[in-house]
Amino acid sequence: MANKEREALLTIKGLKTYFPVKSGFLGKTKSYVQAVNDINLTIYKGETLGLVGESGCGKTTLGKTILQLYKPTEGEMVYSFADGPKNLEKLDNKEMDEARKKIQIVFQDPQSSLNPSFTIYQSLSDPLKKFGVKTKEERRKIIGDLLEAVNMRREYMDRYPHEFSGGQRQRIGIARALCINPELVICDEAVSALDVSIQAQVLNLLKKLKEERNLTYIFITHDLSVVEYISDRIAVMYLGRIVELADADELYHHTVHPYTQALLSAIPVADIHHKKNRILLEGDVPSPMNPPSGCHFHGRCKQCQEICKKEKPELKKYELNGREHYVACHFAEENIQRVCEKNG
Amino acid sequence: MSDNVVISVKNLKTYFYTNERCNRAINGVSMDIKSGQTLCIVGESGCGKSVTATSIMQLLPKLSRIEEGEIIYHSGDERGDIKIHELERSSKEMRALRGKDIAMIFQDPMTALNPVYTIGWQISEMIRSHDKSVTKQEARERALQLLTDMGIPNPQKRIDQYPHEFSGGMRQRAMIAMAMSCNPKVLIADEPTTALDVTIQAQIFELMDHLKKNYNTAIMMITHDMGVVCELADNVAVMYMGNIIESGTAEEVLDHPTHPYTKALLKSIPILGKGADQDINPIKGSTPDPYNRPSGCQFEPRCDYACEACRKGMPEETVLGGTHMVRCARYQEVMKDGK
Amino acid sequence: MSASSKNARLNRKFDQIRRMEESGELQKKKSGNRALRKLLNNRLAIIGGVIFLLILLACIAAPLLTSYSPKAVDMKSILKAPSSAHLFGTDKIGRDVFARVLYGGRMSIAIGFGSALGCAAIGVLLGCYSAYRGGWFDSLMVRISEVFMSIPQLILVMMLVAILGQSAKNIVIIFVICGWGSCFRMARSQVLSIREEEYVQSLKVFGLNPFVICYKHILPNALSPIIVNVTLSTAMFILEEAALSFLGLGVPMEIPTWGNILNAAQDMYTLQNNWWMWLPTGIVVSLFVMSINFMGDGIRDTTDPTQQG
Repeated sequence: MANKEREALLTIKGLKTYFPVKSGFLGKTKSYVQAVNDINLTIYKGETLGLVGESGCGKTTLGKTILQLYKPTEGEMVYSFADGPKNLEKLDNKEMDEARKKIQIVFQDPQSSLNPSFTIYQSLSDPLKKFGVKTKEERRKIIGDLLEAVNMRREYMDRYPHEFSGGQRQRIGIARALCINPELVICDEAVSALDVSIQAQVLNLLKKLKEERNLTYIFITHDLSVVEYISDRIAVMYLGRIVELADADELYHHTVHPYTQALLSAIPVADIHHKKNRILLEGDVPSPMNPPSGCHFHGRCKQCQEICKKEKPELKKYELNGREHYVACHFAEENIQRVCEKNG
Repeated sequence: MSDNVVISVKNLKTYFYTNERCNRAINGVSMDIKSGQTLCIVGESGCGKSVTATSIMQLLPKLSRIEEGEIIYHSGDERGDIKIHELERSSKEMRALRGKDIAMIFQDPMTALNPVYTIGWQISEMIRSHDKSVTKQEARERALQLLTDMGIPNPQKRIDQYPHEFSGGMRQRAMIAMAMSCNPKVLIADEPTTALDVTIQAQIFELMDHLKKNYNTAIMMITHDMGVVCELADNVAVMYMGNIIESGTAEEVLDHPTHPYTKALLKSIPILGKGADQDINPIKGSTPDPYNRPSGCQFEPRCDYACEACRKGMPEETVLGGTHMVRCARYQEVMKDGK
Repeated sequence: MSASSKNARLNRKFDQIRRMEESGELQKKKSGNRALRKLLNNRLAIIGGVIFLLILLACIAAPLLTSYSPKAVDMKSILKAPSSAHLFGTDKIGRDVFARVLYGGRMSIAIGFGSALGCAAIGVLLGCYSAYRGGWFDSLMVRISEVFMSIPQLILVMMLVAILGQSAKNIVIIFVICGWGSCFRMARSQVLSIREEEYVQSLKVFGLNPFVICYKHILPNALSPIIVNVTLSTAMFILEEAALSFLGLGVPMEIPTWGNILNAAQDMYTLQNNWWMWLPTGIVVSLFVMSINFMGDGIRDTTDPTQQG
């Protein structure tokens, strides 16, 4: 697919989400946790964008900022509605409801994603009511259809969450996200808490639903094997910034950023003949409260030079085999050359 | 061969009795843990892999007991073979065994480290509680050495810090340092890296490899991640609903999976590098309610090979040559399909 | 020795469960609410419940149990020791103590329960919203509740009695003013943890009205510890009423309450010579409060998933 044919659904420009750290008697703001730190990203209609990174890299915060659960500190998010693109932050109440109809989320933890004291019907009823489904019969029909769409029986709508297994609950969580026909679904670690044998069920279900309903996914996870399976493009985050962004297979076969290289090599692969060539990273991920100067990764990077400590590398676009590949590294060109030589 | 077996478990059954019900958490498990080798126990949540570990450590909760079977620790010194299953949970012998001969590390190191004492103090205390002749100064020096060995940077400073000052990966290292403080023969690791990031996980794996090679420690590793198994295991035991359904060396089990569950499990995980085109086949259904187990083979309701015979009872252990064991009535067909 | 006998008992229990499981008996018993079954297995809670019901029913059915009026003065029988005519004897102006205990119980229980409910209503209403909303509103509410909780209660009571005057209604109002803080904090802490649950986040994503999310979706999940708190604070308020009335600051003397009955035993002479004027009442109050506490503990144990067994 050529880039020009793709239609941007959501464009994020210079997005920052900081959380104040308060202390002292009057709760004076001492410093900020820089959870999301200057992100530029375009999500195209109909694609699955994988967002990977280790804990604390800001991937979940980014997802929740898009959903307006957190207020961004800076930057803008432009969503293309049917009547033209609008900044998500500058919507009036009516437009806001319209936006909520378009963007939904599937959560991680099947244990806490459903209200334990309500039946499935009761849980899903209020959102439907809000979005204009007035009669009970209609609501029951919609919920029943949704449950069937996620491979469950209609009758389950009158059961309580504790009667379901983890995988079933996760499927109900997906059904809830789909109940008002959204365009963009953010899957926040949607399969991470599930057992492996169930994970595959949910992954395949998500793939199927995407085809059927023309959905766009932002798939947030720490599991690179999963993200590679489901995504069209993958963005790798480190300490609030995107360090590399490329098509899924491209990212795997032509890994440019040293962090992505280390991350990919560290993943245990469920294949005994897989060649092990681990790149061990020294030390831990620094605190997002006080990130290192320049390139955030410089303290753990083998290629680190003086420039890395001083200057922040921008996320720049490169062409690799005719496909776009974004990298934020001072030595990107050098690395690209090496990677291309290695892979012929 | 049998010389380096440190712990042998035979036909172990541990049942839980919470809420006036009986849950057969593990129902006839046999295995050998060998020194200098890593045994990976892999299975989904609720399959009894952690219960196996806590049974060996005699750290079971109050409302549970070992019904049958034996756990024998081959001490290799004047104490001879110790029958762990016959010891009282909080008896002096068991306490002496824990930590000194068999050590355990957990998923969340924070629960295993005491937040009000420094790391160094906790490790020294551990050393001194098992060997009274060690002086405080010696214990501290050994603690320092251990922290250095476990790859903790700047140990001089770290030894006087509290657990909350450590990051997750550092805590797990400190935890391993503490577990290794008395040179145990066996290290039981219960999902030690599940709470950690992959780059930190890789560091811990490296460390465990180092322990195995340099200290000749027998490692029993509990995990749900097939990737971890492929990376670390010398021997593998796959558990499902309280039984080991397949075991053997890593090559035997992972290269030639002979139980339908092992096979299906391997097919259901996406493999890095194979991209979006790979086929992943989910296992149908979900794990049964532990209080309402299938009458025959536990995997029968979800199995593609299920037949009449499978409903009658759990199949017996079949040895396929070498150490490869499988419990399946139709393993021959599974093997044929594998080729 | 005791450890091994305890082990033997556990082993017997395990054997029995296993036998029943194997013979399939447990399958039938499975129906019924698990929490209820657990409550019924708690011996103390059952004893508490029985005593509670006995005293409560006796108070409600007071006219059937005694023919005396609690206020009727009978100068002919002053300070009579217990007899078949007067079960608990009579007081200084000849009123039947048994009748006074029963009718007084009505008032005391009503005050205790009413105050507890009042506290819970205000505390839960404010606590839920405050925790859900967060920010400056929450900080302000916490400060206000702290102010109310830090004033010495007795001084506040005396002040309010001076302003509002002595009556049963005013006592309830005073108790609610003094006591809503603890309920507020409990409800708040409950909601603070539930607020982070993913289903609440999901409702926020749908943009539902905050009041609907707060009171319809969150509150039912925070309720069980609050119910326990209501039962336990009922007991506390009954004791407080007794204490205040004993000091003469509570309900007006002419209305019988447990506290007012005990008030008669303020002087040394009565305490030493007319034991029937205070001892039976004291026992009834203690029993009632104890039974409520047992029940409250029982409910807490059954609703708390961390307590197994």
